[in-house]
Formats: sequence, structure tokens, C-alpha cells
Amino acid sequence: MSEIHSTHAEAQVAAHAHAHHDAHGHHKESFISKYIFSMDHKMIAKQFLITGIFMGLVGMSLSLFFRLQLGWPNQPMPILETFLGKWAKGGILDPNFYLAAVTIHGTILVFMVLTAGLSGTFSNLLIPLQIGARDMASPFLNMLSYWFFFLSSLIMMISLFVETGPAASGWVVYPPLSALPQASQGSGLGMTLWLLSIALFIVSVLMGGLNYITTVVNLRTKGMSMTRLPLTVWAFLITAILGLLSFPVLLAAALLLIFDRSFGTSFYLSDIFIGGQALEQTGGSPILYQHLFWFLGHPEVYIILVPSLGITSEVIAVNARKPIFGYRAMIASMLAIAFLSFIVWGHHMYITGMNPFLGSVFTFTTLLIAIPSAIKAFNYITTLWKGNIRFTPGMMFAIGVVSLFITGGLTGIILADSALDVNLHNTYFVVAHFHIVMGVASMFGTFAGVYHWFPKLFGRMMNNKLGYAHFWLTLISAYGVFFPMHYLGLAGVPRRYYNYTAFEIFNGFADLNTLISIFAIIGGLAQFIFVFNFIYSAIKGPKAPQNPWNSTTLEWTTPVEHIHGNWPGAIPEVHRWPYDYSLPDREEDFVPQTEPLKEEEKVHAHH
Amino acid sequence: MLMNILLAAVIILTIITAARLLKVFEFTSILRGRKPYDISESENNITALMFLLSMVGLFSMFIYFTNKYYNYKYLLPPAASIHGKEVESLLELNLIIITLAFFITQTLLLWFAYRYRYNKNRKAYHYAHNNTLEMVWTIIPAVVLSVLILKGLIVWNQTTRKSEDVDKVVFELYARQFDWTVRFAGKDKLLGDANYTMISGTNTLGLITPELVDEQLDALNKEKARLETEMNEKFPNKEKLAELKTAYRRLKRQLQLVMEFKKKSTEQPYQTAYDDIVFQDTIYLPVNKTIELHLRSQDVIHSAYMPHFRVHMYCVPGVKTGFTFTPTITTAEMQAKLGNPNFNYLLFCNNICGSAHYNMQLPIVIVTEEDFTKWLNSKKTVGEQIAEKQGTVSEVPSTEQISADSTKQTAMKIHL
Repeated sequence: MSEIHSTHAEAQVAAHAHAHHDAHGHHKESFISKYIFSMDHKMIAKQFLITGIFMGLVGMSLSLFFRLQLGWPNQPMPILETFLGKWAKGGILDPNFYLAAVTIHGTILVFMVLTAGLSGTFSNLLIPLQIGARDMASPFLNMLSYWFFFLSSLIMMISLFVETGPAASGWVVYPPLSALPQASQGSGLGMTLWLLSIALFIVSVLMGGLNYITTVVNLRTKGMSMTRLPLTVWAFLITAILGLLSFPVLLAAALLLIFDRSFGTSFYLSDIFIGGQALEQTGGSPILYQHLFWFLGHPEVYIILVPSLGITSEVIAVNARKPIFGYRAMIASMLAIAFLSFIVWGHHMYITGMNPFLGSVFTFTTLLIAIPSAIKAFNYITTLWKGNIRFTPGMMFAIGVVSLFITGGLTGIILADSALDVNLHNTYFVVAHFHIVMGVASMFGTFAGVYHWFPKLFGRMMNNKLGYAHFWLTLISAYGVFFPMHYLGLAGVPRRYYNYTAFEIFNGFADLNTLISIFAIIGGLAQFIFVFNFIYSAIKGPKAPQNPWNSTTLEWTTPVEHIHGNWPGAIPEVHRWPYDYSLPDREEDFVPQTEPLKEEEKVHAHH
Repeated sequence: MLMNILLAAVIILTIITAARLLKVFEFTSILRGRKPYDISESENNITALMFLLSMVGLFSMFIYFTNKYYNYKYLLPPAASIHGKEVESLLELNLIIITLAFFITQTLLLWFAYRYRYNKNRKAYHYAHNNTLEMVWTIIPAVVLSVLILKGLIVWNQTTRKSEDVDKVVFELYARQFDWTVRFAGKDKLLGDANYTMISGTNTLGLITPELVDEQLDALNKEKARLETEMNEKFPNKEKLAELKTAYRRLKRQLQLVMEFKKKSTEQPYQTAYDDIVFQDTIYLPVNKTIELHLRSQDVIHSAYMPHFRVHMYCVPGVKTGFTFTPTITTAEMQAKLGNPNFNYLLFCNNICGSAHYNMQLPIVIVTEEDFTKWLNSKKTVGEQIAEKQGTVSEVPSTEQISADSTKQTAMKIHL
């Protein structure tokens, strides 16, 4: 049934592409329709990636600004004044702007970079290419998805320049702090722009997600059954479903916050006395916001992480020249993680005054996530076992993902435990945990993807030597920044503090904070190696061969030069799963998905 | 300016040079008959070796930091409360397990990366799945986690259990931007009712007693009259007028609500605040007594974090939260134990609450029960303070009194 369905859909798309081709046969595409308002998934992928890299650099710079403050508290840093002007008079960072930098750093990295930059780029690039489709189900919606994202990023950037400063209540923007301009100057115009930006962002995610799901379900080529999909596509599919189910809840949360801020409602506000006045709002609950926020917020963690894990699966299998170990277990564990991610949000709220019984339930469900996560980690490790590993920069970053996923995931076991969270909540232990497992691991996944699929993005190869330098510097500085933070957290050092000079008990950590900042600066500078490599290779890099990594999947059967519709002739038919690497009775160490099964294989085929 | 131009020029030149160098490098590798992006086996071996070294590096880092920082010089001293002890041993168990898992998995990962580096004479082993193996690494984590979940829930239940102890000490922490106010419940062990509409320069907690209600009504009516005259003056500034109107609307509503308290002010809950004791400097608490902590916030979410006792709870405006614990070590004992005469227990805010979030702390002093009672008796109760003020109120107009009393609160812009 599903096969009939997909052939039908394919025929339709092919017919469409054909008609399209005829209609435009005589004139070239204009600059605007090709590069700006493009409806081609490959171009949109590049747009997402380049915007994501730009936003990534902005988010990273903000983190370096506040790391300068934390590493050398109250020491004038002229460079801060150069970049921030009135927010760092005399080179001393303003405490309000410190919080704003922390807030916007988090927002940009979580949403603009690791959601849009990661999913947007690779779902767009790889879904049609790997399932054998000529484009997304709705190219127009796809284009809109990018432009809403662009608008959202633009507004977030504008908010950095308003007089009262950008939003400064942490990336979680808990009301009442975020609702009342009297409570924080960032909660004025800056917060309005933040909410507007996020609302547009959610629209972008939803349009993108709908498209990814529809495309995977309907537009698979003949023979591409669900169990023959590369794990990347599975990961993008699951990510899109997560986003579709959870982002609307954030929109609701944001909308109610807008009402509270502008129209005097009291969804989140109650019994507040501020600026010498007793506010009218009564009956609302700030905790309601937290429930809504984290109902997105927790799945969001997996929206960020799962695509990285998908990319890692693919890159590790290709470069270890082995099938990914436990293909079905990998899918099952991703599904399990995705399902569980919806029933664990309360672990962010153990100490909000929530009923302790609820705390027990959330502890239980949260710790369950460790099981599918462990399966994934062991399966990656077993995939390396007896492999024949080529260390391309992509592969190095993929191994990095596994290492970071383990290191950061393990501390999650501690934070999931409500009894232990009491004392670690909002300390640097949390900062260390989520930066390693979700931030850096996903960033590494993104880099793995960029290095690995760069030939598909730009038809050229990236420079390996620069890739190595980028990898080692990034890995060392990532561990150098975030590993010591565990000890700060265990000592009870709170996050989002402008400085610790008023706390004698934390005096001993001054050196450590300086060390962390030094690693952060090294890591930050190392990213310019990547940016240089990226730009240089996109323009001047050596031309890529069609299948540079000897990979089995469909994207490497398309021509190097991008063409509209992806394949010049008919869409290839798929005959086998994507992981036929190093089959024992074969001369070559990979068999493309398009190669028909031989008679003897049909008998033994387990997939 | 010149410096900036120079700097920009240097950066641009560096980039151009780097790009040229890359081109040269690519040409030489093509001349040698290799593609510039090919990875030679020796290059691959070096990377593999680097991964092995990175394993050594990772473990050395772990050992170095743990050796240096995992001790009482840097970490929190031993937990100073009953449930804190349980939390501490649970944390230790967890840390041991995850450290073991960390070493095992990272060793396997990075060793395999090194061991199975590319070799042109070898072919990878096509090994797609193995049900037994996968069962093993499903079941082992599941069993370990069951133990952790069970132990965790037991400790959690102990931590959050409501105390039946009648001999408890009841006190309240009241948070606002950017300080804490402490209130002990007094002899009746009941905290008097409070409401945000009752907050004034002198009554920072918004306590409700008949006298305070009268005082508040008086102040609000004066403020109302002031706003009315101000609004009736000609205002060219629209914004200012809108601000005044909002303030007026809020004030009228506040008046209505306070009037409600006036009607009910003889009822029992409004009589319990008299023996409460309010102060703002150091928190004194007795050792080995059940402490019932109540938390309120005036403006935004704060969080009362007392890490030495493993106590941490949000203060949420409009919601009452709390935490019950029993301190076990006095400050003097802890100072002796740590050999640090300057040691002090601390309370600080641990949920982002605005620009001065980083400096919202209060020292806690744990003393013996006798010392605590002595200290408590030396403090004036709310009732005593009211009585004192009633004596002076006829001489001093209340507006001036408040502004004199509340120099700390200039930021609150109260014009009473």
C-alpha cells in the first residue's frame, strides 16, 4: 500500500518538475528567484546555514563579553567599550547588559543556531536528497519558513540596539521579571521585540516541520521503505514531530505573556507590589508560565540534540566503513527519547513549590531517558569496534559528539534526581551539564554535518588541515570551559551572577573562572578558523567528486552541480538499506542503496 | 581611529595571505599526484594517536580537577542539616556510578577510535546487530537506574515530608528586589496574615493588624488626595498624565481592598501578627530544632538558596512556598571543624531577579537553643513596635516618619 502511494506521489512530483522545466526552459532563473526567494531546498538549506553561522557568531561574541567580566571581574576591558559602547563605559560591563548578554546568548544559540541553523539546514538539504525526492512537499512553505526565520533573527538583532537594552530575564524569560519593565529595564521594548521574534520563529519552525514530515511520509522513492531510511532522515522526522507538538505551546505561553504585559490580564501575575504601587493583577500564577515554557523547553532539548545524533550515526557509519550497529534499536531509542521528552518537563521545576509527589513522578520519567540514551552511546561505540576508521574532520566531530553526549548525559542522572536537584538547581553544575550534552554536542553534530555534506552544499571540498585545527582547539576548549564548571556547581556557585566578589565562600574559585574564560576565548577564536575555511572552500575549494566518502546513500548519486529537481533523469530506485558497508563477500567496501539485491542476498537479507 | 584602520588592514592581509597559502598547498599536493582533500594513511594515524592522547588528556583533566577541587577547601562543607546528610550520601553514590560509567565508556570510545584506524590491508567487520549485546546494555543501565531512582525517591520523601513536630520554629523569608526580610512567628508559632496591598514604607511585609490597617488607609487617602491635586493641575506632558492615571486607578483599587481588611480586622488571623518579630540583618536559628520556613515574594520570582543546609526553594509572588529542615551544626562548631573562624552560613538568591541579583545575600547564624531564645527575646515584636509608634504618631506626621524610616527604599519611589 505505502509503496503504491509513494510511486504515485513520485510520478506526480516528476510530472510537476517536468512541467516546471518546460515552462522555464527558455529563460534563466533571475537572481532573486535563485538566491533570495528561492524555493529550491538546497538553496534554502544554504540560507539557513549561513544565517545560522552569522547568528552563532553573534551569540558566541556575547558569551565572550560576559566571560571577560566573569574571568576578570571589575577590571576595565577597553575591547568591551569598543563593541558595546554605553553598555561598557570605561570597559566595565553594565550589570544590566551582563544579564542581557546571558539572555540573548541563550536565546540565539538555542533557537536561531541549534534549532533553525541545525534542523533547518540539514532537514532541508538531506531529506529530499536521501529519500529520493525532487524537492520538499511544499517548496513555497519551505521558502516562507526561511524568511520567517530571517525576520525573527533580524528582530532579535534589532533588540540588541534599543535604548533600554535587550531582554534581560534569562532565556527562559520567567514572568514577573520579564513582564514588568519596572523590574528590569530589559523587560521594556527589548522584551517586546524578544516575544515578537520568538513568535515569528515558531511560525517558521511549524512551517518547516510540517514540510519535513509530509515529505518523509509521502515523497520517498520507490523501494525506500521506512526501514531503509538513513538514520539522519529518521532523526529529522522525529525532530519535526517534536517541534510540531511542542512549539505551539510556547506560542501560547508567549501570547499570554504578551497579554499580561500589554493588556492588563493576569495569567502569570498576582499580588505584586513594585515601584511603590500595588498592581491590579491578581489570581494568576508565574508557575503556569513555567509549566507551559518547559512543556516546549524540554522537548526543545531533543529538537536540538536528535538531529545531531542522526548526523553522527550516518557520519560514523560511513567513516568507520561499517553498518551502524543496531539500526532498529537506534530508531526505537530515538522514538523512546522523543516520547519521554514530553513527560519530563517538571524536572526543571522541582523547587518551584510544586507538589512533592509530582516531583517523584518527574524524577522517575526523567531517569528513564537514561536507558535509550545508554543504548545509543553503546551502539555508537560498537559501530567503531572493528571498523576501518577514516578520520575526516566530519568523523572527528562525530566521535566528539559521542564523547560529549556521554559526559554531559551522565551528569543528567544527578540533575534528574529531585532530591539532588534541590542543591544543584541554577548552579554551574546545570550550566556544565546542558552546555556539554546539548550545546556543545549539538554544535559538534552541526560541524560534523557541515564538513561531511559540504561537497553536497557547495560542490567543493573543505580543507582538512584547517578542519583538524578547528576540531582539536574546539574540543579542548569545550572541555576546558565546561568541565571545571561541575566543581563550581558542586560548591553551590549560582549561575547568572554578575560577579562573586561579595561572596567570600567563592573566593577560591577566582583562578578557575579566569581559566574558564581563557579557554572560552581560545574556543571562540578557533571558530574563525572554521569560518575562514567555510568561506574559502565555498568559493575556492577544490572541486568535489560525486561521492567523496564512498557512501551508500542517495544524495551522492546526484550530480555535483546543483540542478533543480536533483536528478537529471528518473529518480533512482532503492533496493537495500543504507548501511551495506564492508559486506564480507564483496570486493568494494560499500554497496549503494540503488544496487539491486543479488539472489543470495535476498535469502540472507535481514533488512 | 588610525589604530582601527591599521588593525582592519592587518586582519584583511592575514586572511588574504592564509587564502594564498592554502592555494599553494593545494597545488603542491596536486603536483605530488594527490588530491588536496585526500587523507594519507600517516595523517590518519596521527589523528588516531591524537584521539588516544585525548583520552589521556580527558582523564588527566578529570583527575587534576577532582584532586584540586573535590575537597572541603573548595566544596560545600559537610551538610549541616538532617536531610542534607542523606542528600550528600545520595550524591556521593551517584557520583561514583557516573564516574565509573564515564571512565568505561570514554575508554572504549577513544580506544576503539585509535585501535581501528584505517589500514588498507584490513576490511571492516560487517556487524549490524546482536540482540544479546543490546539486551545487556539495556538491562544493566535499567537495573542501576532502578536502584538510583528508588534511593532518590526515598531521600526526596524525607526531604519534603511535612513535620509533625509541635516544638518547631516557624519563620518567614520575604524576598524583594534586592533584599531579604526575616520574620519569626513568635510564641503562637503562627505567622500573622499579610497582603501586598498593605505594604508601605514602614510595613514592608504588608502585615495586617487593625492599627496597621488604619495607618494604611490614612496613608492611601493622603496619597489619593495628592494624586488628585496633581492630576488637576495642567499637564503638558501626556505621558506623565497617563502615569498618574494608572497610579490613581491602582490606588483606588488598593483602597477598596484595604477597606475589606478594615471590615474584618477584628478577626483572629489579623491578631496573630502582634508577637511576630521582623528584622533584616542576620538570620539566627537554633540547632537541632525543626525549622519551618515560609517563603513569599513581593515583586518577581526569587529563590532562597541555603546551600550548606541543602535547602532551596523559589519565592513566588502570589504563591506561598516553604521548606522544612533541621540544622545540626552550629556556626561555632562548623568554624572549628573547618578551622576557619570567618566561616558563615549563607542565604542568597538563586533565581535571576534583575540587575542586582548577584548581591542579594544574608548571613545565617546557627546557635544553641538558649542563645536563640535569648536573642529572640532581645528583639521587639511587631506589637511592641506598633505600640511605640502609636505613642509618637500624634506628634510626627506619618509621611515624614515613613520617609525617615525607609531610607533603604528610595528605589521604591513611595510618595506616602
